[in-house]
Amino acid sequence: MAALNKEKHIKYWQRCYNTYLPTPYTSSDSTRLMWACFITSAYDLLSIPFSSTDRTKIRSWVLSLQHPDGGFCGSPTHSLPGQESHKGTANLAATFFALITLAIASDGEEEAKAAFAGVKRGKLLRWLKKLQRDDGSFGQNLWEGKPVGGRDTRHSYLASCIRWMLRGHHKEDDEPWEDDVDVKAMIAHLRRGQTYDGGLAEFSEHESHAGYAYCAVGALLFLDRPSSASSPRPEPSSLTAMDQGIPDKPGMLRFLAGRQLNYLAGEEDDEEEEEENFIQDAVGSLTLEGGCRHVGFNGRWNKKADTCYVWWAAATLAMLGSPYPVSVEGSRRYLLEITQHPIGGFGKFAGTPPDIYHSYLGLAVLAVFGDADLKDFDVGLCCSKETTGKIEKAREGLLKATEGEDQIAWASDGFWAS
Amino acid sequence: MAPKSKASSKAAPIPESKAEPPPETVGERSTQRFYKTNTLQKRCEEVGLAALTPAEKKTYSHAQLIIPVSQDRVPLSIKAEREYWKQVSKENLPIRRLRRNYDWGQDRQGRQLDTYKLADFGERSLKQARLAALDILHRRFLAKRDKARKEGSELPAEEVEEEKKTRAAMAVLRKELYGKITGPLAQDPAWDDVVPIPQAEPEDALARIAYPDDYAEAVSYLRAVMATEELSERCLRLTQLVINMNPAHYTVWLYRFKIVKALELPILDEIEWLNRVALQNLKNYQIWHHRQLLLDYYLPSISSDTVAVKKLAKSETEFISRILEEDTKNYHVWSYRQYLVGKLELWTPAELGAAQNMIEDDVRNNSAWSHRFFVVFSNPKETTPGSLPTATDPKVPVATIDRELAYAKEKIALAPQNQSSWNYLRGVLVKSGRDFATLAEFTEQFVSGLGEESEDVKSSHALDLLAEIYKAKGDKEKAKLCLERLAAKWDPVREGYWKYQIAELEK
Ligand SMILES: [Zn+2]
Repeated sequence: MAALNKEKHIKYWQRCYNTYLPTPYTSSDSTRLMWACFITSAYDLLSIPFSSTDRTKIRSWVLSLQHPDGGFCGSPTHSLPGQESHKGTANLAATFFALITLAIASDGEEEAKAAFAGVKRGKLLRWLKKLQRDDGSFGQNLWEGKPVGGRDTRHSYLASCIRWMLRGHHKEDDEPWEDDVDVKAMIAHLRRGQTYDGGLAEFSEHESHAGYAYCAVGALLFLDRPSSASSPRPEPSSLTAMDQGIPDKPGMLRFLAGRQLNYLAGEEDDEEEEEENFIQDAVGSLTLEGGCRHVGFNGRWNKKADTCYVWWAAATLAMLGSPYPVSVEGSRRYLLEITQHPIGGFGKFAGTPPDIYHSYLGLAVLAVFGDADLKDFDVGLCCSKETTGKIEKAREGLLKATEGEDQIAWASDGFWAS
Repeated sequence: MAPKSKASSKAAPIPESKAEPPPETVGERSTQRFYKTNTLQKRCEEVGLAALTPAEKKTYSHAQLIIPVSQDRVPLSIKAEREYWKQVSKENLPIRRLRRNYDWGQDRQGRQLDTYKLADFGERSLKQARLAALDILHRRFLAKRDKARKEGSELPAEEVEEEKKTRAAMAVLRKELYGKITGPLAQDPAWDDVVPIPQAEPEDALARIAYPDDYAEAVSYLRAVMATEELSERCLRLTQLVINMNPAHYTVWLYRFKIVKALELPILDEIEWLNRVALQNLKNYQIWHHRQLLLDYYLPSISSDTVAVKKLAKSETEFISRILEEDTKNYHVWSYRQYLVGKLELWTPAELGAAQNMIEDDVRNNSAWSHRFFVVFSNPKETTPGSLPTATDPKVPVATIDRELAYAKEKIALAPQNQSSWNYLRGVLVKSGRDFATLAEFTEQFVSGLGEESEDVKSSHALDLLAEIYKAKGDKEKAKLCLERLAAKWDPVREGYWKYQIAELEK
């Protein structure tokens, strides 16, 4: 059985970390923080240590992208220097990835507690609240003071995670209090996204999509998730956000089960039509010799297998408490024998060159499957459990630091904000 | 100081260098010149100082002293110094001595200039001279324009064109000589008044991208004009430049929309432009979001003109069809189509027909099936507003339900193992509120001899549905058999799921 070629993966990520990303990444210049997060998180998963110089460098780069009014900008292209800095634009995805990267760049208890030092928590949470629309959805950034962008579940997910990472579960009389987003409206919006086949989309009128399903389920998960592993669980009798947010849970489980497909190696190469592949035409043929050797996943019904959907579907199922297992062995073989690239990393399909996105999500899902070469994985935040632990400490540290200064912070914040 | 002696008049003659070939490179020429101006140096290096004749030694040491003496670094009496110079002139020693290993520097590729062939080096010097000359022209233009502007006028277009040519030529020379990139914006006098805000990134920034040459420049100008909130034609062109290189830039589209509104540009022209961009960037999401913003903005202005609305609906659906021809399952395009149907109230037979045609072309096109479901079950005339797709809707007419059930069944018969049509069938049934058992007869035709020797299954989805039908009927054993056969034989990929269903059955 093929194994994770750890050495090659390490080489791949070191290349990403140390040298320029190739020119085609220009079209994703606006999400450089995501690339930075995936690269550093892959280091973390593969246990490649960062020197203290590296950690300082990562921290200062991430913090350089912070917007003075809260949130983080997607890349240096979107953040402006000095006097003009408030004219840059922060966005949700960048903010999510910035926080995780800051946690990754801390080593040990003390550094973890200070990982969020410098993050403008109050401003960020108020910015987050402004991003929410009346219908409960979130925009990706503010434009002329209003939330803009789609209403899809990605934004709900990011907002829910950011809220969890920075806000913690505070009661109104706790310090330091920040007005919360409208959780009820948030759940209601997600609830409207389930489609007739049990899947999920931006709106239920659209086609279901495993990526949007992950985001919706993740958003609900973090509304329910206790502040830290040690904090008290909610009353088991109370209705969770997860219960309320998915109208048809059996349908969702069916949809997720349906993402698995028997991948027939060898067919992909000679197939001319990109999308016309891997349809279960011949029912029962799967039990023939070699059947189910490779199990791929797609994102929508009747679509081709793709590395990242192993992650999106299997991770969603894991967040739902893994009511049933996926075929782990077959999926591992698909990833390790079909899309793992000889130079390290994973491609989208068989034979495609590796890219950061698929290489990271490939590692992520192998970690979810419990690969011995990788750290234990937090399926909700898409980083190692170790990093989640640091995030909890970082939040704690930030809250402590804010408590004393609160009065002063409020006075100046209030004045300049109005 | 060499003593005055008779012998000195018989100083060693400077040996003729053995007919050396003429130098080919700058470095070779320097070396030859070095030896020519450093008498006996070469010979001394070849045979060693000790092997020189006494006369040679004397000449050699005289030569060595030229510079120290001329710089007063050797204390000599006036007389002695006069004597020394006399000797030098007598021996015909070159007064100017070249230093060794002169550093010519390197070019932009890191090549040492002394490895240049002489002709190439001459060429390079010529380019430097040309660049200097062009720079004078360029400065003259700036001064002239300043003067004109002070007087409230602009320079004639020809002169601006001439200046563009000057700058283009300078840019070529700068790149060739020094590897410096002058982007197209810096070459355009129309942008002279904008001070770009370049991206100041440390060398060790994360996730650095090898940006194409023009990208960094375009972005630095974009940042500048967005900061000053300039809304102009030239900025519109600038947004296009950036969009071409990075269509996922999340504020350039919003900025572009703002310009379109401020300049009151014809929305239909903008849509026309967008069509071209969309065809070049099939997978981009922002393009379709921008299109939505344009439509939301444009529609109120023509809402009273039914002809104009109809025309818009026609051109939009035509473009969608065209792009779906290229990419039949494009998620963004289908999502936009759903937006459009809602916005323009296209709950029409034509729209239903469009989805149907795509299903006819490819019965497994799940996007087309989803669209059909939307057109039928979100039509406000036949459905309850806000009814979830996973819920029964009593308002849907029976005829519609029957038509949709028949359609799904017809397509299932065509391809029994097609997931999309089975999902559709289930979806319609849920909407209708009818019992799953009503599908028993239809579904059973795809399965025969279950659990027996002669077992034959034409569709695993039929078996899945039968399990639910039997469960609803209260026949747990039969339901279980279906699930067991799915796990064991007909759909083992989902073994875990089928076993979970069996466990659920027992509850
Ligand atoms: Zn993918």
